[in-house]
Amino acid sequence: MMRKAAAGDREAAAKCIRTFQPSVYTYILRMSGRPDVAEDIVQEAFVRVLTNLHRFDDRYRFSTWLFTIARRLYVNACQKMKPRYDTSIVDGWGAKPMPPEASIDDGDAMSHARSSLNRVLQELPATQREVIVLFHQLDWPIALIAEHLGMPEGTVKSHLHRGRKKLRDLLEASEKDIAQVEDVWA
Amino acid sequence: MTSAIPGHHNDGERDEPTSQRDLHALIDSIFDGDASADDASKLHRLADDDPRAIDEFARMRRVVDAFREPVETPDATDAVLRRVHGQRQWLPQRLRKTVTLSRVCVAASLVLAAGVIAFIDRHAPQAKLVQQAEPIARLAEPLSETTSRSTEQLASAIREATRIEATRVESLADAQPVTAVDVVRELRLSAAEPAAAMRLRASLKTPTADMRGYAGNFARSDSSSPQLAAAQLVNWASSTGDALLAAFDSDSLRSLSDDVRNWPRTTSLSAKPGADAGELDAVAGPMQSAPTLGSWIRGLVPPPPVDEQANEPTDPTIVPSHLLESSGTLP
Repeated sequence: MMRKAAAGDREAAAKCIRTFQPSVYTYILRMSGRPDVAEDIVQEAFVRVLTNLHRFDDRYRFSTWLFTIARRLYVNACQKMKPRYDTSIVDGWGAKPMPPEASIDDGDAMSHARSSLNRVLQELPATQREVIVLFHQLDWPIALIAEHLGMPEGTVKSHLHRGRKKLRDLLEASEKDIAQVEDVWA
Repeated sequence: MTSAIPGHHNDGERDEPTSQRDLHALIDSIFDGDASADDASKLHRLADDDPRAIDEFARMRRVVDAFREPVETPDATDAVLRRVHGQRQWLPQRLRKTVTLSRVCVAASLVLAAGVIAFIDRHAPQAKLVQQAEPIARLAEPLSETTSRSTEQLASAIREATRIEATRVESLADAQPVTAVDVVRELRLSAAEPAAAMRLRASLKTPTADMRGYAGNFARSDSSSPQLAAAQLVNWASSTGDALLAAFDSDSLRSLSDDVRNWPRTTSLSAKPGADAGELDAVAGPMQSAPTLGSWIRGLVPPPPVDEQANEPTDPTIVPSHLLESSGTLP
């Protein structure tokens, strides 16, 4: 598929995008917490990949190359727009409170969990966040994450364990806060 | 599979009771995918002893399961393809196949051509893929044609000579008889590489004899007069570089001028009109006094008439018309 896309096959390029865009989008969304940022970076990453396909060394995994490009774009975007991101994340906390009348059935609970997950992920240190997303969201093996982030596997595991516990505590704290708000409204 | 529970715990977990630390390590190993069957049974035992273990596991599982929920992804396919199309063209499948096929055909043709050449070279080394130029005597028919016709043939021969493969420089000195084509070839080679002029000079065993040979060939291939022969020599020589012209010293010129004087007596030109002693002296005198062939030629050739409307470079292999008039004299 990559060879066809490199040779100018539009359909192969489209198939490549459709295959990989969910995982790249999710990765950047979890990292940034912002759908608009994730969308922009995914688009830019695919443009760069497709215009530089001739440079791709097919001894390596295509997805690793794609994620590396997306990650660099994300890091660059963070460096360029850091003040705006910080502000918008803070704003996002205040601007999107859970509606008090929301019922706590299973569907809403899951939606709430997803919303909370995106929020609390932003409270984790960037490395822990990235390791957790790559491992639990994208099912990357530890060895691949270590290669991608340029750190030993033991360090990756350490980040994973600490991040997971912290994430659990943050999620539970978030749920308690919401439960208290609901009690007050009830 | 051995147990994945680490024996070492970090500082944050140092205050936990042993069973609690074991529980967390077990849960980590399970969610890392490293847990063995032994670890699973240990977890079961811990859960039997302490119901909080089940709760701990469930809490962590909720976190992990939250990542399993699908994320709604906007489709960026069209936007990406539009942007990429601005930088590189997508090819329709049929056209792409055609392009690929044509590349394969070109490559196959090249390989086939190389194979044919190698085959011919191996089995028929005498075969000539490029036609060699014929001696000027065969191309020009001086006695039966008019002067202009003969000159055209000569010019054609010169053009042909410029396409000859330059492989026989060293053997030119031994080539007998030396033909006008050989002269042109030498001149061309020397013009292309000034250093070759000196090598050529060194390779010629008897330069004066060769010059005489050239002159004789000019005369034999010419139908009108020594002036025309001289004009042809001028024309050929002027298409070369100064390096070659400087290579022929005054001794060679004197020998050549002697030959010019002797043309009427030694060649068929003696029977031609216009070959009188005065004309010959007009050519040979300046030749003898000139220090080099170059200075003699520069003295012979008048400055070209200024024609502002015709700025195109002229073909150096064409003899100037004012020098081709059979009844005229050299400047």
